[in-house]
Amino acid sequence: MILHRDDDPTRRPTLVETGDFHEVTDIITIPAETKPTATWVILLLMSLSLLSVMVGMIGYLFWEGTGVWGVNVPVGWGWAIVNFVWWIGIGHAGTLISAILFLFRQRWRTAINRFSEAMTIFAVMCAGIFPGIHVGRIWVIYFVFPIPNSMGVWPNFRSPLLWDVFAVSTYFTVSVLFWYMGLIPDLATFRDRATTKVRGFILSIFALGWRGSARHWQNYERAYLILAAISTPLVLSVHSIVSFDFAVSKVPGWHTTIFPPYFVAGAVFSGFALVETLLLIARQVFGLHKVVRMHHLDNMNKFMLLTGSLVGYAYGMELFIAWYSGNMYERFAFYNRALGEYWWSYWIMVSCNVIAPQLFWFKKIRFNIPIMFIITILINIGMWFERFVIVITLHADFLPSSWGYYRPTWVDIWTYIGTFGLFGTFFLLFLKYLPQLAIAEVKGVMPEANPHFGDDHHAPAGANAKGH
Amino acid sequence: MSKDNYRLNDKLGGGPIFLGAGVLGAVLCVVSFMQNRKDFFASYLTAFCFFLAISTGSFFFVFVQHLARSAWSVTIRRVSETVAANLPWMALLFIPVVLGGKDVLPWLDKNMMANDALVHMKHGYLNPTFLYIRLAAYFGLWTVFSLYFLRTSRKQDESKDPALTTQMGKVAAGAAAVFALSQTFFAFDWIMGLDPHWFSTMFGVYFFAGSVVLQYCFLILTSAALRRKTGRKDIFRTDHFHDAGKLLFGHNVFWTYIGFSQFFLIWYANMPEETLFFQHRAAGSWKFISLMLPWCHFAIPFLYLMSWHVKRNIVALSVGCVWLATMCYIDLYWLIQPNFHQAGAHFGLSDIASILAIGGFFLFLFIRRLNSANLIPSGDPRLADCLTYDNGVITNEQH
Repeated sequence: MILHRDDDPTRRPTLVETGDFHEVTDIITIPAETKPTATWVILLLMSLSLLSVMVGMIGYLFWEGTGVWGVNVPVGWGWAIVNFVWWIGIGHAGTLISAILFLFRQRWRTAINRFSEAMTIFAVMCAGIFPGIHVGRIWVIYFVFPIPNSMGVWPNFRSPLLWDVFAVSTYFTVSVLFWYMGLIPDLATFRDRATTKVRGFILSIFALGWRGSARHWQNYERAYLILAAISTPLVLSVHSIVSFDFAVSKVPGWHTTIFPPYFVAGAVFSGFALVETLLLIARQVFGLHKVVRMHHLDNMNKFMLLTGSLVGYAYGMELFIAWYSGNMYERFAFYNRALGEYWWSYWIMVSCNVIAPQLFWFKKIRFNIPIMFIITILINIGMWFERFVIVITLHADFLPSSWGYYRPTWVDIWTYIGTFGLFGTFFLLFLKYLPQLAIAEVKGVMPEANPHFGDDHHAPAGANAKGH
Repeated sequence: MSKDNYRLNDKLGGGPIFLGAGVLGAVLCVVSFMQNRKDFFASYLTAFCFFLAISTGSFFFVFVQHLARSAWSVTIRRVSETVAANLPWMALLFIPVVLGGKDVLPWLDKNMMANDALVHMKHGYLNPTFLYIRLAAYFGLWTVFSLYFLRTSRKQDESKDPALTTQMGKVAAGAAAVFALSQTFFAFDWIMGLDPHWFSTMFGVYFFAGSVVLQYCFLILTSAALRRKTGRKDIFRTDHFHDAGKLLFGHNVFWTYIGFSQFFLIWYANMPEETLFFQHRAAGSWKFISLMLPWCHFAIPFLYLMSWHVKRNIVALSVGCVWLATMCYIDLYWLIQPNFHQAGAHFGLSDIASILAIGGFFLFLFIRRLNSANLIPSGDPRLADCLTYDNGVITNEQH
């Protein structure tokens, strides 16, 4: 029985449930080398359909203009910004797992880092769509970049929206580099196992001539450490700058100093939730149980408990200081959030983000796959509503005569649903054609990888995994 | 290797000197109180918050090690457990501040409570009864938890019972929740509350970030002293200093991030009720400190601590810790004293007296307690891992 095993404090969890390197290679490479299963094809077709819905909605938006959305006075930012922040938040767990957990020598990350890095990249792609299509005059979208032009028009460098452009594109670039660099040794494994010339040729290009020599590995490890150090500040900076979009303003409920770390905690929270949702499915479909073990899921659940509580702390501070400030507008904004016309969205947010993860205090729940699956989905619903609650604060602005009730249109809704098609398409292609888990790194955390393995004098059984 | 090899018989010295410093400081405090009450309370509160932050930061360190089931930190954890257990003594040292009443917290003035519109609006929170109930709760909870961790860990020295580690892991989860709220509201009540008009949701996090930096400075310096005293490089390993140094570096960047975000959002929105805080700190010589902190608390230590040569060199790392601890003091000075001295900073007798008094007693009590049991948690089941863990650095150093 899994429960109670870790009551022994000296126990070092077995991160991989096999002692055979070849088996690890097989677990990860075989899905990519066999014909796609029917489930995969059906899922891909569904994703492609949703993707085409998204393309259709965006085309319609370009044709008609942003009037087809529900945005209006006073809610000038509707679902588009909500979806942007939600997707970009999801894209945060990738770098946290790859970079920060790497720097903390958290070896359990090897089972999930590749997966979450890929998720990061696709989530950032989905996020990037919304500000892009929100500009209205799409033909002058190049204005978001500071490109010298004959009109002498420059973006406003003092606007957080411009900082977003830089923050998100830097984050995307570094995430892709990080992901790709980690892929190189595994692509070489794929290449070496290729049975057809075409496959071997293509993979040999992308494997960049990797031969696995000691010098290759040394360079690889060094580059990995440097990239990890470079991307660590990015985990904090991207969502801090996203939070600036709101917090630099004077809008009550938006302008509060805790926003940057609060947004970062929320982003990591939702990122972990979606990684776990997808991981639970992939683990089942591709049979990854020996590599993605309950220990990994347990740790992820604890992360969600921590970040969910941090988010709860931030909600509490916002409420308390709104009252403590004595500022009547600030007080009204929070009163209105909790008890005004949109009370339901506020309480969905609180129950999904603050209350639901508290269930992870119980070990039985952290080890129960169906319940954790439901909680991860609730968290992502809650995190979507968090952004909704923030944006919708606008519906009762400083001018009571303009107060209104915001409703999304069908175009808003289908554009959002359509982004799941984009995400799903890329994610399914990744699952099928690339190594889902970092083969070389998973092998590296197996006790058998220790040079002293089996040498009883130096390394008694169980004392091998020393990184914690 | 017998197990008694980890029962260290050496004692950390300096106790009587610190006691003497404490007594001298106490006398000087009385003198400075006679000279100028306002000066005294400003200085005393600053010094108090500095040493309190060492204890609460260490408390944070202890429960985080349990929550993360970390093995690397076992041998140096006793230092943090012991200094966190100074929290009950801190309650006694806080009595002068409480007696200061409206000389410390201006809103305790009956006149202000009745006539200041903002203070009046906050009466539900800013009232003396609730203030003292909260204060009792903070110190009560801190006492219970900090003594629990020290006592349980010491009990384990004898019993070697691994179940105690499991138990401490569970209590640590509750400690985390208690800590987050109690430290935040302590900072709201006794630092932010010095100016009852000003507010910031980030304030609790800012104080927390500084307290963790300070805690690592204290931990590294004390561990360095223990390494020198005991000569046990196999217990207080270079890897420990390296890793604690990394965490110090990381938390200092975190402090900067929090400080910058708070400043930046207030500066950008430029709303009078918030900018007042920085306005006060731009007056006279306060401006010099405001401009100095980003360089001396962040930029210089950032570059200095980045190299692992520094983090693995105990003397060099200790220099960095003394520097950063000084900066943490100046940071608290900058948070607290502009509320008392609007025209500019003036560091004087009362500041020196308060540091000597609180610091002297604080360190005396710490050393006495540290010496009264084994210097490391030798019964911790993760001790073996701690003594052999590998943080991935390949060097030619001789251990």
